[in-house]
Amino acid sequence: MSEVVPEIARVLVVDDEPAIRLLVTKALEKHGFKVESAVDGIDALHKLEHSSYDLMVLDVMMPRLDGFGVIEKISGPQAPKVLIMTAASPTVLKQLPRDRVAGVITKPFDIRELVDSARSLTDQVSEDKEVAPIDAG
Amino acid sequence: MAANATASPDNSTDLRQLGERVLILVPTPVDAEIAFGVLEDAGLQPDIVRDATALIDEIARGAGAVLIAAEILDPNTLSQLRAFLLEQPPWSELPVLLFVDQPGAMKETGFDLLGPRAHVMLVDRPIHLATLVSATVSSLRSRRRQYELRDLVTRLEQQMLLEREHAERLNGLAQASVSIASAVSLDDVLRMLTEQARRLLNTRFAVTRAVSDPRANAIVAIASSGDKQWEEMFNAPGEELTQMLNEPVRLSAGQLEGSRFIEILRHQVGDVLPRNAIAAPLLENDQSLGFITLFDKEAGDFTDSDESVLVQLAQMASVAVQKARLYREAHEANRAKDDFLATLAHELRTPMTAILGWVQLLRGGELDGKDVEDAIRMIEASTKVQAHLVEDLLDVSRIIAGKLKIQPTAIELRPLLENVTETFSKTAEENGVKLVAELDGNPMSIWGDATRLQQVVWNLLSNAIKFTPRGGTVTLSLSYDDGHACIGVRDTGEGIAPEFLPFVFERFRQAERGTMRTHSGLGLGLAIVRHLVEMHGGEVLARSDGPGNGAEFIVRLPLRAVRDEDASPSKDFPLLKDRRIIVVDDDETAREALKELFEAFGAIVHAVGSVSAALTSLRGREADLIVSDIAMPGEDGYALMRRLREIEVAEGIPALAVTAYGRQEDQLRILSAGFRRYVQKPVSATELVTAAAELMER
Repeated sequence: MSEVVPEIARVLVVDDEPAIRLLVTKALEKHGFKVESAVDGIDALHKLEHSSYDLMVLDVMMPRLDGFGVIEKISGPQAPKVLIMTAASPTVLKQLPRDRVAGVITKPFDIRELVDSARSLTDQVSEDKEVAPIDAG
Repeated sequence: MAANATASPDNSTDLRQLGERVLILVPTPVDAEIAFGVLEDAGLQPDIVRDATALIDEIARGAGAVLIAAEILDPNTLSQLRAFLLEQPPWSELPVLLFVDQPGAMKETGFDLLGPRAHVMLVDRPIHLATLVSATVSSLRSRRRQYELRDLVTRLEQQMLLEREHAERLNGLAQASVSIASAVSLDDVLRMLTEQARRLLNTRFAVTRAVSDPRANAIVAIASSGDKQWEEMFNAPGEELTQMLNEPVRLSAGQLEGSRFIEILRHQVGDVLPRNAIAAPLLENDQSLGFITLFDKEAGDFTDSDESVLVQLAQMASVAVQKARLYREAHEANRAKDDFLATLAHELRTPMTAILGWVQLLRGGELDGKDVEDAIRMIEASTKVQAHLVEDLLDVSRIIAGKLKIQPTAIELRPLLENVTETFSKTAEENGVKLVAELDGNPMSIWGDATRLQQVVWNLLSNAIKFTPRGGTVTLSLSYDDGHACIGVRDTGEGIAPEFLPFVFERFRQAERGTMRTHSGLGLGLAIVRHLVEMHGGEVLARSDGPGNGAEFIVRLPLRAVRDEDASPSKDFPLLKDRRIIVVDDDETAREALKELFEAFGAIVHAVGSVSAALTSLRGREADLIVSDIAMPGEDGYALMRRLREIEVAEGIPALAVTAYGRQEDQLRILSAGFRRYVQKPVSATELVTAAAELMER
């Protein structure tokens, strides 16, 4: 499947729930991504400091530092695109800073849907075209 | 004494007599004496004055009528007297009998001679004595009517003054009430009330202080108005002052020194003490929420009216405080529910996502070897998590609907706890937590639902393990005291913040909410624990010395009154057959257990729930033995013994105490109260039956 991704895209998966973290990691790896993972917001910031990624798949509700906290702390051209994965209610979604979020995927999601989103977001890394719209509903 | 005595409404005997005097100013002493004599004989109070100056002085002290010889009124004296009389109050029209030499003299000017505050009557000389007396008597009568008018006017004036003050205060209270309605915050309300209190009671300083509810110590609002020197000092927490002010306090200058109020106040405000003070509590169901206090009334001391105004203002303040709290609580409860729903969505969808995702990967054939194993492990773990969540949710909904039932049997807690410990040791190990069991080996039993009690301990232990970092310890303990089994779960984990402690057993509450996820789970476990424990007639308590100091949960369950192993009746006790026993115990379970036990041994038992019922029962039937509990609400076992001595039919009936009290001094007290024997709860059937039989044998 590597022919779908022109260069090997680097993804950081951030979720405190091991079952989800491992699932997303495994699924993306199977589709040719290079994946690293972090167990919470603090761990994610730490990893972002030392490496650069094309995409960050980010959970919202996490201990120590939640998804909002991570988004707040990253900026600049080095910052990866952010795909939020959440079970949160519409009220919480409304608080997301839209300009810094490339896409939102709602739990429970079809794993293929997640892979597709990741693929479309990373495919456009160099072309910087339209990204998946934020589904606030 | 006031310069103008007649204007004073004083009703004392002296003044009344002064007001009845007939002042005589006649130049010839002989004439004066004659007039004096005649009037005195007529029962009046004549008084001779020396000159015009003395006359003015005496009128000022009080006079009913004046007799004056016209020749004394030279222009100077006349104007002096006239000027003085003009200053008399409007109600006064002093009767003046003016003796004139020729009939008709001064007829034209005489009546107006002394101005409108004097009523001049001309008496022609030679004076007919009978006429003098009757003219004087009628003058005095007219004067008395003036006094009545004076009193009436004075009363009206006072009433008007009071009404004006009353109206001002009502207006002030109404304004305060309007202010509350329009105020945005509690601080604003209290500030307005404080200012209004100070204005209405006219004091130098006012302060209002409130806590959010009677159990809270933290001051939620403080407002003061007036003197700055006292303002600051009320910011210090003064719990005692709030506690003390459950009744309005009013202290005048004299009372202030040495009073408890001032002692506390001195602590609060230092040495700059007020001259007088008044305070009223902010009450909620008779418990103090705070106070309004005012210092230094500008004039005089505080009055009843001041107090009632202040009490009303305090009531408004208390309503405002309560309203603010209710609003905040409703708001918080609403938010807690929102948070709960967000967490619920997250917690339910997370395992669902994992299961769905792994199944899709498995079906897509994209996994191999170890990956498949991982997938299955993840699916299994997520399913368990989800099943547990659903169970909790179902339990909570059953609790809300009142449909949760327990099926009680006699159970021993120790084996139950040992089982749970065993189940949990693996989980604890995985989490790097040491699980210690300290279980009392006594074979005590309780009446309960083993599955539900297991769930209680399960929830408490999983909570404790969840909140304890690696390397920590969780201790499960079992002990007995005072008729109860105590199950304790203690951890060395994060602990609980004091402000959150009262809410740990509430549904939809977790210490931290929002999108910050502290621990997985819904926070329903403890709410379920509390409900289950209460269904067993027990209670559950949470203790913590705050964050970082670990937490302890204690479940107290009532022990069965009768021990299990020897509850089966033995037919070897013919001594109880057909003996009449009265059982007294307020606890229905214990009462029934004792009744069943004695009946199993052939006794005829009448079981009652109170001392008074026992006495009624004794009057109506014969008894061979009384078996009574000690601790009972209202009249206890000791009271029963006192009352028994008062009734004849009870004489000679032995009494046996069944008690949870185990200390030696309790035992002494029981025996000295008149019980012949005591048996400690939980009782052994053998011990109880033997003791009963022995007592009746004697």
